Amino acid sequence: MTAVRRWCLVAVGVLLLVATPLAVNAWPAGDTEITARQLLDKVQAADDVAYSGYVEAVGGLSLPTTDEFGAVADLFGGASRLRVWWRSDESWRVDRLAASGETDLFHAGDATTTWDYERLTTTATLDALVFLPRTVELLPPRLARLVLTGVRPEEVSRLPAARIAGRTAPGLRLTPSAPQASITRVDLWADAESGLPLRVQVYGNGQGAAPVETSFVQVTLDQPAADVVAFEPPPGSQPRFGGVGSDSLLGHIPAAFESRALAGLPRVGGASPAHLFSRYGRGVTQLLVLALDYDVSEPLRDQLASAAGVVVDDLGSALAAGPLHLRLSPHRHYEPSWLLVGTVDDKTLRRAARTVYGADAAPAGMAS
Amino acid sequence: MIRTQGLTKRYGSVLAVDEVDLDVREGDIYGFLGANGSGKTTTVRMLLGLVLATSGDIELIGQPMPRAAAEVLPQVGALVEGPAAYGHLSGRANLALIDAAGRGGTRASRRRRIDTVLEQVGLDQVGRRPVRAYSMGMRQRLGLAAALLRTPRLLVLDEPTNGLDPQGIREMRDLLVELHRRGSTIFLSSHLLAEVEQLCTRVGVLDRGRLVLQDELADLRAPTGRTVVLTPDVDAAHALLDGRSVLHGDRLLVRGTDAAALNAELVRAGVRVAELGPERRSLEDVVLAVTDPDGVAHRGPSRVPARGEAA
Amino acid sequence: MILVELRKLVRRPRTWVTIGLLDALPTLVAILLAITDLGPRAGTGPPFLSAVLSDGTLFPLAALGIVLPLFLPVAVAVVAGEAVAGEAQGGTLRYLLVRPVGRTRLLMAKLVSVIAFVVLTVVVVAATGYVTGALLLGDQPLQTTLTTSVSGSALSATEVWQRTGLAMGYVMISMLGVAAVALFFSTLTDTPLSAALGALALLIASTLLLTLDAADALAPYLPTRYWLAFIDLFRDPILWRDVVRGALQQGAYVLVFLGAAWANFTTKDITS
Repeated sequence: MTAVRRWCLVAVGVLLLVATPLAVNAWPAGDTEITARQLLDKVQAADDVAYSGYVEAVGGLSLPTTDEFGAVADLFGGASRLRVWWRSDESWRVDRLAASGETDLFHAGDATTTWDYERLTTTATLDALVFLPRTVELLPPRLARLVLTGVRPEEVSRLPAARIAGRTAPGLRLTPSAPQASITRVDLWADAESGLPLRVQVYGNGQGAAPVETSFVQVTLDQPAADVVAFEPPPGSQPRFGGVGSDSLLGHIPAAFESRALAGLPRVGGASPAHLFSRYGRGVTQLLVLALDYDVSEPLRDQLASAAGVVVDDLGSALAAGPLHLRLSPHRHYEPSWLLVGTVDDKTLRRAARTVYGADAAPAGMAS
Repeated sequence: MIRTQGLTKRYGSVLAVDEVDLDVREGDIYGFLGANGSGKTTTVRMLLGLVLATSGDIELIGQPMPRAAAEVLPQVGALVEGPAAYGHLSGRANLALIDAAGRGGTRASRRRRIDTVLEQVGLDQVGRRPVRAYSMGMRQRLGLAAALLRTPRLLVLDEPTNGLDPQGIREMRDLLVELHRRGSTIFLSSHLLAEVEQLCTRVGVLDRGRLVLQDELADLRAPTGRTVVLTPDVDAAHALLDGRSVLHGDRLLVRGTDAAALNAELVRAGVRVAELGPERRSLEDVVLAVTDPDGVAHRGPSRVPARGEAA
Repeated sequence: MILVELRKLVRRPRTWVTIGLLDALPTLVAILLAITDLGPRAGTGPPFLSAVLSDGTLFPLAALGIVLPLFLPVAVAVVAGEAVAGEAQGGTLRYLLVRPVGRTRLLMAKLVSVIAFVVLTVVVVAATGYVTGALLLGDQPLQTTLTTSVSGSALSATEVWQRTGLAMGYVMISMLGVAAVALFFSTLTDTPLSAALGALALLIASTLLLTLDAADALAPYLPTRYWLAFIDLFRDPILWRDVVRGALQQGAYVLVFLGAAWANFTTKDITS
């Protein structure tokens, strides 16, 4: 055999090895006849589907990293690899994998245990006290549920189907109609059979690339075994009890803001336990108001003072990270600091800020 | 034993070996002569399948090379461009490794065979010293020992006396003669004319990639039909022989092969004869003649002054 | 021929010097950890290193994690780069080939001998790690025979042994790609150093590209992409995804580069 022929043989081998995975990935998905409306119904009805799998999520939001919010910034600011076992809303487990360890959430009933391998800590938290997003919110079904809450049929349209984790998934596009919205659109693909959302992409205003994308790369639609989601604290680990993101946040809640509506957005849910925070909005347009203790607000204020892209005006410091807008009230002696954060545009946020703590603030509860 | 037809090797635009037709017969000690860079080593490497020919056919022990390398090469012992061994191991360990690396030569007889060849090349006394500590001559012997391990039918030796002292060269020569006597065919490539002249029965000469001569050494060195006379009375002899002789240095070359008659004639005339015998061409003359088609380097009266010292 | 290569491997002093040097680093780390009792901060440092302070049985893995990113591949690249080029440089290659040893067979024997080196090194590093871990590290009471997995569940001694074995196997497999690449380069050149450096350049490029988001599309093809997946064997349940992909990818590297080495070496003029 000549040298040329041998090299050709090798080249053909290389080509096959490189092209096979590409070809498998590029295999077109057969589309289904389902309409946007039907698909929306199907996805919303898929809340009780049990599944397990492997999720890759990428966030492009750069948020200030204080002790209290570092985890959130991490979650939406970088890539995450998640493993999930979902038996039901009451019983699930989500592992966030790191190169040298993992941070796991084990959920049973209304409490969640967090296991951190590198710190060897377990933290038990009541769900009612949690308002900061956790890794579980990055799962496509959870994120989809969040963005589809209160969605109106005229806001959705169909997208071509894609193959995700080996399954055919018809696509759905959500274009929020709320004038306050800072999220321009959300694309999601759901399993054709079960309606389980498999991939979600959230687009903010003005940006081409998806700031947040989460997608299954491997999924099984079987009920996971109970012992996989059960957690027994290992000997030698330090048990702790957690609350609102951290101990200090749970400590002293200096004030509360309550209103039926804020900046044109309706109140979501009832009064939160211990009046920790209040939530307004519909679907992907959400606004969160919380009062911060001095210990929490000052580090955050310092962070914002030095962070890039922060605007300081009469209503405090404002930061935009993709579709997420954030505003911290100016420092005032003997008064609580207010943090407003949400997927609303800055105009709405200013309006809300004026209502909550502005110089010319209307009395709480009277804003509409 | 070795037969090539139109053997050619081209490196890019350089023709290293050009249409070489070697013919080495069983029982030969074949001297493969050529200056450095004439393509000798490339040819040897092609014979052994190390370098692949651009075109042409090679037959070794009746089988095509390199296709039948697996069958042919176990019957061939080779020394290519100097010996090589693993420096941190002893000579014995090196031989054991190289013997175990391929077929031919059983494991059971390995110890005995290694003892034999080490004795043959005179390395049986060096013991467990690592090869690193060997002299150049010792390495050369070790290389030869490796070539002899399986009592090969054909020995291909490239410059086997390189690095050897005169004593070593002599021992090597004796060893080769002994091996030849026992039935091995030897293919010896060398640039040393004297070595080939002393040892070989057949000669091939390579010049700039072309085989310019291939013949029995005896034929090449057959008497030329003249008789060489060495005498203190050169002028008297020259005058006496009158036209039958030419003066070549201090020697007198006389036409005719009858040395006895010539001797009688000279002695009768009172010319003292120191030495007298038939003229034979030296291998050097032959080689120079063929490698230099213009005859530029020819010594003697036929020298052409105009072309000068070019060669 | 394979036996001959293995014999050469174990009789070469350099093999043992290399393994000794490889072994020295984790041992030094163990000693330092034992003296200072300071683990790396969470999220930094090699895997398992923070865990070994309380559980010495994990130190073989920590030791592998320490040598895996740099030391082990460098050693493998040097040994594999030497494989053919070293013989060529020493002149022994031509004598092996006229012995005769088939060129394909010689390549296979060299690959096997490099693999043997990897196996030997990994076993020695893990064994030393076990001994130093048992002697120096771990302040857990002796009656706790359970080891904590990365996911927080308890692993029995048998499970730890099995998974450590799997992890060692995976680390060995991870080195196949480097070995094949260095072996290919080794057939290209007559200087072992350039072959080893060539393979190392590829590794460094691969490591660098992995940190680059822009190169995400290339990531699955990069030879170092799945190296750290041996940690996945200590998650509960075991996460096979990257382990399987890593093994397949290394297999593909072996196929491609051994193929290239074969195509080059079997048609090459040996002029060394």
